[in-house]
Amino acid sequence: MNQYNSAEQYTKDIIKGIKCGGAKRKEIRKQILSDIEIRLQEGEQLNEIISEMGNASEIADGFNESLTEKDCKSYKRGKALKIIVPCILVFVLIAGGIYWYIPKWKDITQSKHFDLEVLDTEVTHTLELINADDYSALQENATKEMKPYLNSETIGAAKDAICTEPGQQMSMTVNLESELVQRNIHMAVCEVTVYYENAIMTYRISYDEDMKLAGLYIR
Amino acid sequence: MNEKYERQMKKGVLDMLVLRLLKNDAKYGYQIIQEMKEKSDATFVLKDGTLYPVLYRLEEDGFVQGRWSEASGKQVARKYYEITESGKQALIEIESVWDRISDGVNQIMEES
Repeated sequence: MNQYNSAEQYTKDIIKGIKCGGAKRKEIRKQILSDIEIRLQEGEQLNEIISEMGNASEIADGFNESLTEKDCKSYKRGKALKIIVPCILVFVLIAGGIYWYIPKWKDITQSKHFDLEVLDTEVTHTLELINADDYSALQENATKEMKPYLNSETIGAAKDAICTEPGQQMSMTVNLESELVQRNIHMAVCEVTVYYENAIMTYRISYDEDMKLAGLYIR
Repeated sequence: MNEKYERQMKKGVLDMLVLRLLKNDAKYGYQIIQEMKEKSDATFVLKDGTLYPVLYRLEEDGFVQGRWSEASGKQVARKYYEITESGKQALIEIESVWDRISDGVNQIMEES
């Protein structure tokens, strides 16, 4: 029975087994410790006291038998919260993570990172360079990741797959101008349909926050 | 076997005995345990796990009121229990029930 080195340890074991809310457990703990301390002051040894008081789980059972419904409800509520709160936290973390990961479209006119006029100017300039097959100029204002793809083998081949001789650009319509946010990375995205003499091509062009060409899709 | 029956019988009178011990003055838990042992010639040797549930129950019922003393110097804070007016009234009623029960028991036991 006497595996306890201190009154605290013994009391802790008793309290562990009592199925009531925190306030009552605190009260019981205070009471038991007070009793033990009184006896220690009267000259009794801790192991004698513990021996007389009895087994921790038996003492806890004695308390549990006398608990009211209110005490039990409070205990069950506390236990349930101990499960529910971490579950909610985990859920919030996962949901937050998913939200952070999912790409979100935002109104570019409300953007703190991009200016619509600047975007329009850049898109027009990019299209001019694509139409002129000026890949070195395209590369100059592109991200590091994009540069290897801005050449005749890639862009040229994509255009040729639609039409080898599209002719002059006649007109253009803007289908989409928006800000895209994913994993805290902001991009300006513009989709335009260009009407050439002999073909129609749709370009989706993306820029990073420095307005460097970061994505190009041709169909 | 005897221990089980003894425990059951004692359980039934504990509330009455605790109220009786508190009738004249407030006492703390360990004090009640000691007094009960002395006055009953060690018939009632209570453990904390038995006494405190009784006290909490009496407190819930409004028959006793607990209050913590201040710790002073080497003396630790103690929770004193004091009988209330309704506790005194309840004691009178319980004692009358006890008289009736013990008379009834004695009659049956004597007959046997």
